[in-house]
Amino acid sequence: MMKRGSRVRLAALTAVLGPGLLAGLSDDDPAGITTYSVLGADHGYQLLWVLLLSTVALVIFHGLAARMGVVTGQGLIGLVRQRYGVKIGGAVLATLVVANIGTTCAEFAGIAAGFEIFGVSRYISVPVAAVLVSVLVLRGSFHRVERLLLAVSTVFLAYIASGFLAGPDWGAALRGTVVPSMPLTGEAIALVTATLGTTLAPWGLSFMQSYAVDKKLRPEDLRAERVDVVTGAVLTGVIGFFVVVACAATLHRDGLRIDDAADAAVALQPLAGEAAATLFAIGLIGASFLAASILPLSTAYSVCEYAGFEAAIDDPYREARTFYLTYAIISLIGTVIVLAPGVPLVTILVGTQVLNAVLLVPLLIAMVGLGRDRDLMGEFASGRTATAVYLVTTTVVVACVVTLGLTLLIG
Amino acid sequence: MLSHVWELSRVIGREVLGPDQRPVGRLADLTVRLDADGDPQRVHRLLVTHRGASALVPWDAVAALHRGLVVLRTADLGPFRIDSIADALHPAEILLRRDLLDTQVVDVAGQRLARVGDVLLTRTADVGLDVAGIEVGFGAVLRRLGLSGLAGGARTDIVSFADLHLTSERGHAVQLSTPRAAVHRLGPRELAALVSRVDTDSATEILSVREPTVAAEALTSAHPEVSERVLRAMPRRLAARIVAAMPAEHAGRWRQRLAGGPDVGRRILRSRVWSRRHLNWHPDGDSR
Repeated sequence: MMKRGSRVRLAALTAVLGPGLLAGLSDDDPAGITTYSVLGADHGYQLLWVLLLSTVALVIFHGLAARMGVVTGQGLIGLVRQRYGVKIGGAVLATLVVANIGTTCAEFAGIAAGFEIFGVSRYISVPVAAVLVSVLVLRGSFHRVERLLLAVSTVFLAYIASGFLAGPDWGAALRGTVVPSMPLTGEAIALVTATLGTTLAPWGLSFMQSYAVDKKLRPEDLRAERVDVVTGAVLTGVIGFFVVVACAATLHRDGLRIDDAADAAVALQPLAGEAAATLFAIGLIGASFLAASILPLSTAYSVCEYAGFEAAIDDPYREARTFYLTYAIISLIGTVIVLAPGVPLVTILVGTQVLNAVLLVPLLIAMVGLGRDRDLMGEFASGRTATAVYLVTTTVVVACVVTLGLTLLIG
Repeated sequence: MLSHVWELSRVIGREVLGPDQRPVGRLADLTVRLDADGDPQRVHRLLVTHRGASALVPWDAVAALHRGLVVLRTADLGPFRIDSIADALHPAEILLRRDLLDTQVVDVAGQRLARVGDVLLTRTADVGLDVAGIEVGFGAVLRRLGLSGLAGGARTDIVSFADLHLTSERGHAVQLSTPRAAVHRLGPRELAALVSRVDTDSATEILSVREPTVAAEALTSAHPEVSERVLRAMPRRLAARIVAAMPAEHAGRWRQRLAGGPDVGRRILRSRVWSRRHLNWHPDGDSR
C-alpha cells in the first residue's frame, strides 16, 4: 500500500501535470514530424544529437515560461506588454498571430495528409476535425479539455512502435545521439535549425505560460511542475528520436528521399511493413489533431492577454467572447486555407517556419529579461547562473537562425 | 487630450523643465500614496531621470503644468536623488507607470479582469494632479499605437481608481496593507468575484485581511472549485477559522471535503468534471 507521503506527492504531481506535457508534445506537430522524418531519411542517425540539444532547450525555456506564469499569474504576451509597452507587445502579438495562422494551416494540412493515406478526402477530414476541436474547447471545462488532449497525446506511442518495427541499428542510433557531427552543407544547417525551430516554437512558449496561468498553479506547485516540464520535453525528444530512427533504418538505408511526413508513412510500407506505416500515419493524424487544438488556444490566450480581456477555458462564452471568437476564427482561417484550391500551401508553410524562427529570437530575449526582473518575479527571479544558461541557449538559437539566414542569402 | 485631463502614457518620457524653462530631466514615472486622504488619488512625487541618475521629486516642487510639461521650482535635483527606487518609496506608495499602466487589474465594481490601457490624470486648481481613473479596453491601446482611426468600434471604459484591485506585485501588497483600498470595502459577493479572478496566493492573502465572517460568506458565494482551491492553499488555522464562521451546514460539508486531502483517485479518475453551464454556480442552488 502506498505510504501517505508518497500518496500526497503523487497527488500533487498529478494535479499539476498537463502544461508541460501538452506544450511539449504538441511541438511534435506535422511540421516537427516532417522535419524529423527528413532528418532521418537524408542523414540517417548522424544528426540525432540535435534532438538532444533541442530537448535541453525545451526543458530550459518551457521551465522558465511555467515559472513566469505561476509567479506572475500572467501569460507571456501580457507580460511583454506590461514590461515593454504596447508598441513592442503589439508587434510581437501581430507576428505571433500571423505565424500561428500559418502553423494552424500546417496542422490542418497534416490532418488532411494523414487521412488521405487511409483514403478519406480532406474535404471531409479537415472540416470535421475543425468542428471537433472547436466543440472540445467551446463546450468543455478546463479539466475535460485537458484530459481529452492528454488522451490524444497517447497516439504518439504509435511512433515509438513504428520505430521498433523498422528494426533500427541501435548502436548507430546511440552514437548519433551523443556524438555531434554534421556535414557542413546549407541543407544540413537548415535542417538542424528547423529541428530546433520546430521544437522550441513561439506558440509553444506562449501556450506553456498561459496554460499554467489558466490552471491556477501556485509557486508551491513549481517543483511538481518542473517534473511535468521535463517529462513533456523528454517525451517530445523521445518521440522525435523514434521518428528519425524509423526513417533512418528504412528510407535512408535504401536511399529514398521524402518531402513530408505523409510521404514517410507511405514510403515506410514496403520497407518496414504495413503495421509500421499505419502506425506512422495514425501518429501523424493524432499529432495534427493535438496541435490543431492547441494552436488556436495559444493564439486566443495571447490576443486576450494583450488586449486585456478575460481568457480562461472555464469562462462562459458571454464573459470571454474575444477568447472564443479568436479560437474559432483561427481554426476557420486554417481550415479555409487548407481546403481552398490553388492556395500556395508550401509557400505559406515555409514562410511560417521562417516567421517562427525570426520571432523566437526577440521572444527568448524578452523571456530572459522578464525572468530576471525582480519587480515581476520577486524571490523567483532568475539568478546569475540561470540567466547565463538562458543566454547561452538563446545564443545557440540566434546563431542557428543567423546561419540559416546567411545560408539562404548566399545559397 | 482635454487640457485638464492628462493621459499618463502621453506625459511619461516628456521633458521636465526648471524655473528657467530649460530641461532638467525626463519624467519617468509618477507616484501616488494609497494611504493618503481624499478621493481621487493625488499624485505624490515625480520620478525624474537625467543622464542615468534618478530623483524622486515631491509634488510641492512643481511650479506649473504647461502643455503636458511639468515645470519645477528648482533646477537642482540633487536633494532628491535616489540610489534605489525600492528603498526610496514609502510603504504605501506605488509608481503609476510601473505598477499600474499596462498591468492587469480587477475592476471590482464591474467584476472583471482587465488590463490598464491608460491612466487618466486631472489637473486641480492648486497645480496638483489627481488620478481620476483608468481606461480599460482596446480603444486606449489603439490610440497609444497611433491607430486612433481604427478605434471607432473598440470599446474603452473608464474605471474609478477606487474600484480597482491591482495585481502587480507592489500594487497588490500595498492595497492589502492600506485600509482605504477597495479590497477592504468589498461585500462578500464582490469579494467572491475578486478571489475568483486573481491567482490562488493573492486570493488567500486578500481573504486573510478580511474578517473571517466576510471571508466565509465570500467563499460560500464563490464557485466550490474556487473555494476549495483557496481554502486548501491557506494556512490550516486560517482555513479552519473561516470554515468555522460559515453556517453550520456549509461548515460541516467543507470540513469533510477538506479533511479528505488531495485525492489521487479523484484527480486521476475524476469523471464528475462539471460542464461549463454548471460553472455559473449560484449559492442558492447547489450545482454539483
